[in-house]
Parts: sequence; structure tokens; C-alpha cells
Amino acid sequence: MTWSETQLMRRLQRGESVAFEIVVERHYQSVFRQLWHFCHDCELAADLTQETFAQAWKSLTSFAGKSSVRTWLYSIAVRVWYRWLENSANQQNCVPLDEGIESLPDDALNPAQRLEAQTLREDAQTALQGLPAPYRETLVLFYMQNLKCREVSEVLEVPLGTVKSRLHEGLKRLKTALDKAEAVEAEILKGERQCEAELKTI
Amino acid sequence: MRSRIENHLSRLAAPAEPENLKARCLATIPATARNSVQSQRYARAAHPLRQQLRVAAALMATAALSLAFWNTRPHSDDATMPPDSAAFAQTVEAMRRLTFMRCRGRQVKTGAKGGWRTTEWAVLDTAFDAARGIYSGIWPAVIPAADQHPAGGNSGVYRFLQLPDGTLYMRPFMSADLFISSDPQTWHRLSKNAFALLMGERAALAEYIPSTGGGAPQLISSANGVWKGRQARVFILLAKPPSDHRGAPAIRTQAYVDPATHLMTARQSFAVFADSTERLVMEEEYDYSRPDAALFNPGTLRVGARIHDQRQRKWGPSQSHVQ
Repeated sequence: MTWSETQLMRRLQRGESVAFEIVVERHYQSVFRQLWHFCHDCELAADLTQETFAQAWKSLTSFAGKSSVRTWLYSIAVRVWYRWLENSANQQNCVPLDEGIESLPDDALNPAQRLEAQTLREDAQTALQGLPAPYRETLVLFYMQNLKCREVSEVLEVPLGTVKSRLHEGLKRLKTALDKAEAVEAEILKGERQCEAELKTI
Repeated sequence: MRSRIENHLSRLAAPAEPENLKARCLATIPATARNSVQSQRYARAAHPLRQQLRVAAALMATAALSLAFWNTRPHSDDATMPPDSAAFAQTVEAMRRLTFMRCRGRQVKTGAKGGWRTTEWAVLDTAFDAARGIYSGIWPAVIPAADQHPAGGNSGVYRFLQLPDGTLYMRPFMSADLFISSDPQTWHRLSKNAFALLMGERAALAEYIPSTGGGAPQLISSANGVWKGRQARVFILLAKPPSDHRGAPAIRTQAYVDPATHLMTARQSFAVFADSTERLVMEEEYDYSRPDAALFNPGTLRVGARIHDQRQRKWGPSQSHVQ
């Protein structure tokens, strides 16, 4: 069934479950990805995704159609996430429970560059999880969910200027964290080389 | 032009979603809403030509779906979801939302290094109460005499209790040792999803093949059936062993579901061997009244026990401690 976005929105506003089924099929994976980037826990992200659609169904008749279906769902997902944070004892301790997630390979790079890229991605993932929630959410919606600034501001219900300043500050904090990580790694490598050199003299 | 960090951010990937996630999300639509839309569809198809086109489209969709089932894995994630997947998703959702329940049954005992023992059965008892904890016991159906106490390896019989604060108690059946540890993350996961406790095909495979991830159970089919005189919808699931354990059996499960409540009445698991022989390896029945609070009292496990407090560890005792 291929309805246009406009047709889908009209049918959603009428409360048609067929239209909602199509919305689920089109968007459940991207909602899961967004929530996973927020919490870094597969099972929790799946629970929150299901809760998002449950909340979306309940608020179907109040869907005004002013935003796209996608931003409507993402904003519900953000509210579901905030509610979980409020109710959970773990608050900011979203420890990465899912490890070993591989990103897309860098086909144009040589092996050393690929390793560097992979290391940078792992560090970026860790650094992203270490950011305060408002910056993390803004970066996830903009870079990973590919929303425009205006859409991010609708989803997060903050002014456009706030989105831009969070993007700027979030990237700055990420860069600081990554520079520190690189400096620590350089120190470790230096220490390892010194040890190797000393062992050779024994 | 984007910076290096921005490029890496945009390429950060997420893991694949759980296989049943789409079904779970679709199950948030109430059944009454689906039914009313179905009757609206049939009411609208009054025009003869439109009706013929609808019938033709339905036949083509059914044929395509049949091909999809034959040619791909049984659990289809096509846009049109077959009815048994939707019904099973309702059961998964109903079970997931339980805040207390108890299931009792039996399973074939496993050997020290995995594998099913041929003749010995163990009794199973699991109780869950979101406010009180999770209790699980497995002990021999025939209690051995003291001088026939099984020694060496993991006899697989124990009592286990986890409390909502994450404290975990484990006492092997014929041992005075009580291991206490802490695992709040496991409590968080299990307490939110009672179903995860029950549909342990992966756990069943892990019993046969120690420390394996096992295959995820796939819904194969459903049919109407009877469990001890009660009408039930029977869902058949199949969990295959991992490819590096070719001699291990697949596990076929029959889940008997009450059509009125969508809750499971009973479950039977069968080991299906390479030569197509089958044997019953597990069966249990479910009780949805609130379990006795005494089941969740750690004092009963402490009686006469040598306490090993390992709360600095993340999870449970090492195998070498289990007798």
C-alpha cells in the first residue's frame, strides 16, 4: 500500500489503524535507532520503541498534521525517553551495554586508516554517551536521524537558536573528549615503547 | 564542509533491532480497532469491479506470502504480517506486562558437560513478582540418597532468588554453599518482561550446549488445540542450534495460549534430532494468581548455609564452586 505522506496524515487524523500500521512499518527501525543512541541498551531501546508507538496510537486523534509523521514520532520518542529518565534510578548512567557494534566500512581507506577510523568511531560513541542528555539528543537527531535544525527544534520543543547552540557546544565537547582520548592513547603508546626499549637492554 | 568528527557521527551505526520488534509495535493497536477497520473494508467493497479487483489482489498477496514462507525463514518481516504472528505478538505483549505469575513443570536433566540425560527428570518451579523478586528452583524428580550425591561438574540443580534491589542468591541443590552476588541490570531487564523468563528456547539450548548463544526461536505456525480439556491456540516455535554444534538437536516448542486472555496456559519443548526423532524435554503450566511471599524470602536459602558473599562480582559464582 503506497500512500503519500499527505494521505497518510489525513488517515491518521481520522484514527485509521491501517494507516497506523503503515507508520509502524515505515518508522519502527529509525525510532529504535534514535532510542538506542540515547540509551545504548538494545532491550531498553526496544521497550521504549514499543512504548513510543503505544503513546502515538493513544494520541492519534490529537495529531494536528502540522509536522511530518517522522518528527511527530521522534518527538513522542523523546518524551518517552525523558519519562524513563525521570523514573529510572540510572538517570545519566547509560553505561554502554551493547558492545562490538560495527559501523559502515571505510572502503576508500587503507588498513591503517581504517583502524584509525574505527578507533575514532569507538571513541566518538563513548564520548557521545558521556555528553549531557540535551547535547547528546540534539547531536543524535541532527547527525544520525538526519533531521534539519528546524525539525530538531520541533522534536525537542526548544527554539531554533537553542538547537544551533547545542550543536555547536556538543561538537566542541566531543572534540575535547576525543582530543583527551587521543592524548591518553599517545601517552600509553609512548609508555609501551619505552618498556619495549628497556626490555631489549636486559 | 563537515569536520572529521561530524562525518564520524553521521556514520555511527546502531545494532539491528530485535526480530520481534515490529510485531510488538503493531500489537500496540487494539484488536477492536483492527476488527472495526476490517468490517469497514468489506462494507466499502460494494462495487462489482472493485470487489473483483480486491479479490484478485488478495489472492496474489496470499500467493506471495506463501512463497515468502517457503523460501525464507518462517518468521516473515514482509509488509503484510500473517495472522499467527500478530496473535503471537499479542501473547508476547500480554505476558510481558505481567507483574506476577508462577510456572511449574519438569525438564530432562542435563549432564555435567551438557547434553540431555536419557532417563532423569528434574522438577521446575519459577515464580515472579515485580514487587518481591524472581524465584527459580530446579531439583531432581527422584532425590538421590546422601551417598549418591552427584559430584563434579554442574549437575544443573539449584535454587535461585533475585530481589528487586538486584541481590542474587544461588544455592546448589545438595550443597551447603550459598553464593550471594549483585546484578541489578539483570533484575531491571527481567522484571520488565516476564515473558523473557519463560520463553527460554535459547536457555534450553544453553542447557544442552553450555555457554552457547543458541538460535533465536522462530514462529513456524499455529493451530487450534486443547490442553487438559481447555481450548487453546497452539503456537509452534523452532530454535535451531548454532552452526558449530551440528550434532545438537533443534528445540520445537508448543505454546498453548488461552484465546480469551492471550496468556499461556502451558508449554512443551521437544528436542528434534538429526534423524528426525523427537523427545519431550520440558513441559510446564502457568498460574496467574499472586505467588506466596515466602518464596521470595532469602532466609529459607540461608538456613544451614556456608555463605559466600560475592557482591563485588557482576554475576554469580564460578563453575568451579558448584558441586
